[in-house]
Amino acid sequence: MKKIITLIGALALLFTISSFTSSPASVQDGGDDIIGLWEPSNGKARVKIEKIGSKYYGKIVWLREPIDPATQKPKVDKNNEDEKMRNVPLRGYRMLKDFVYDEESKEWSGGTIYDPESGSLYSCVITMKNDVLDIRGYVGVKALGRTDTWKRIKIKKKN
Amino acid sequence: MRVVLKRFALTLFVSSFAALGFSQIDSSFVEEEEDYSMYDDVEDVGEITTYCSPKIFDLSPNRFLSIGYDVTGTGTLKTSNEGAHKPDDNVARNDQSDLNYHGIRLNANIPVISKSKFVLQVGGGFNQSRITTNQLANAGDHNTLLDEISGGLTSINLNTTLFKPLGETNFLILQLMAEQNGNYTFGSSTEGPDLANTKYSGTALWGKRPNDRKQWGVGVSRTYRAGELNYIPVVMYNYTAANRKWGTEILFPARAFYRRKIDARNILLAGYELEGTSYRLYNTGFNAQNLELRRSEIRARVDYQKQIKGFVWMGVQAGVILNYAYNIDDLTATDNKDFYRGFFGDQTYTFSNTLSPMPYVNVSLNLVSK
Amino acid sequence: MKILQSSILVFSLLSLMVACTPEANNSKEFTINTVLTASGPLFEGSNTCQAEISSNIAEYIKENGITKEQIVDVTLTSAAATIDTSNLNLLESINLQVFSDNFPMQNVAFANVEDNSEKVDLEVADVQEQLKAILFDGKSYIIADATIKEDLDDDLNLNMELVFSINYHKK
Repeated sequence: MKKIITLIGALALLFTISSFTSSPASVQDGGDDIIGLWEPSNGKARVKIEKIGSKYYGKIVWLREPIDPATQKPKVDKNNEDEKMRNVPLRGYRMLKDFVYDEESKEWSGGTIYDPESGSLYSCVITMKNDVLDIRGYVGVKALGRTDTWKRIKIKKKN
Repeated sequence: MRVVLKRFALTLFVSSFAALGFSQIDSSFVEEEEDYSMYDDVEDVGEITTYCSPKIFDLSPNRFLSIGYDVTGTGTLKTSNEGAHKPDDNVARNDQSDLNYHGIRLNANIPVISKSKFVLQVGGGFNQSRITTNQLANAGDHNTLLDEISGGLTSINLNTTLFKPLGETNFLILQLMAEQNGNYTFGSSTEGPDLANTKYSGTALWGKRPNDRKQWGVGVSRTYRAGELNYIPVVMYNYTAANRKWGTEILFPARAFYRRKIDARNILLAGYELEGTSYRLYNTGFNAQNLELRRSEIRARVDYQKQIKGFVWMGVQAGVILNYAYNIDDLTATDNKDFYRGFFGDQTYTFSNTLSPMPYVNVSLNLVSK
Repeated sequence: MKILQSSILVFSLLSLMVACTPEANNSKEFTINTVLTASGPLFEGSNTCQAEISSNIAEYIKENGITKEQIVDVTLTSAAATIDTSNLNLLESINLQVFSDNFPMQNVAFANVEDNSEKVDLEVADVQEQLKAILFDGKSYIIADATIKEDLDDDLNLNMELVFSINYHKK
């Protein structure tokens, strides 16, 4: 009996160590640095970048002009290629999708950025320096694209 | 000692369950709570400068790569005899032939640097006009002239465009182009193209972009669009109406279009474009002289652009070509170098010709960005 | 005799051709019922709920003797949400998306929610590229971005009924 308890304890120790070392919560991923609130250079929207599963996504959480002057209603994705998806509201829209962080190149790649103004979906790669993102959307190859800069913002603390 | 070990083992045994529970929490099951009003009041963490965009809403798509084919109907080319004809002289043009042309047009515009604060685009073009015409009996000079152009006219260019925003509203555009135009065929060292004959043109423009639907500018251009070298003022006015249904795309006098947006993937443009350049005719049948063909035309057209799939769009143009200039200069007196006449010069033309209006169609396949 | 032999030969050849012709695609519908929950308290705006659905699909095709290799494509044909009576008039819209580790996230259905609706039929997207790849890529998830009109102290439960159509070759 004593030997059994000792054996169980040793196994439990081994198991505990392996559990902690394999726990996802204990691994600090450089890719998580992108998580937070960001504003594109034109100041027309604010985007919250979050992690779902192993990938990063960006959702529009604020629009400078939330109402469509043509309809006097909240802006929707009226230029979507799929007619059935043209009533999806832009506030809450995931315009950045499926980015995977590459530790070696220090960039978030393999994702897409959606431009609701034109209904166009561009391939995209993101790099970060000093709380500023370089977001490059491109067509096919990176040479055929454009880079925009986004700055990190944070919600003001209320007194 | 045994008691201590026993208690230690028991503690570990119990704590392993806690670790097991913790490690099995799947952080991918994140439940979000959003209160959008909290995003109204924010403060900057990063620092960037805001610059005006080179585009406004709903402009026709920017073409990275374009391949097209151009076909005209038949026009009438009337030529004078070889001589010294002043620009506004009443010239006898006794010989005439039917003429039409067709050819491929390739263009590329690559944004080598494209950032908020600076856009540099480098491009190139290849246009070829294959000419179909008929020789006349007993029309020596006329037929000799037709011989020089019936092999086709080729234009190759390299160009670069720089867009530099000066803050949130103002901007500068600088565009430069080098062209080789002529009746040359490749592989022959005696028949061009001759690098010394490269034509240089460019435009410098200062503009304002007061909002997302309007952009205007003024500048000056060194251009061959009127068929020969000229220095002219230019005015840019790009506009989109508040209802986002229509607008304008104007770079006067080079082009001016009214734009109608059918939807995000179908656009109709109506207006005109002034096209032209100066072509070197090498070692001609006129005593082996080099001549310069001053060709210019106004293309009034309707232009329909439609998305095929993704970033591939097609374009169809249909309209009429109003020929503005088709005169020819002899360069012997200037040692085969081009010279400046402008709008007010009175240097004479060796041949003073006219070409009548003709219908045309252009179809293209384009890789674009909106 | 020769005519008879030739006829038998032709008939045999024809039979062989028919036997070797692959049979037309088959189609089966299967339904996933799942509850997507956002734990309260919740604030006005978009709230994200998600659940894993790959195990449901894997089980279904196994039970029906279908292998992944037989499957030609998978399409979402309908999506409906049943809302708790306690949350009537709260929901503004539901935007449904699916994704997996190796394939991009896709919008698959959306609906604006009318007042007093207990059941909401979502408009299914016409474009459903790579849905098959997503659903069979190891782990796949479904996300509902549910926009609510006002703050909610309790959980928000969306009972989703998703009907998929699987087109496959018979063995």
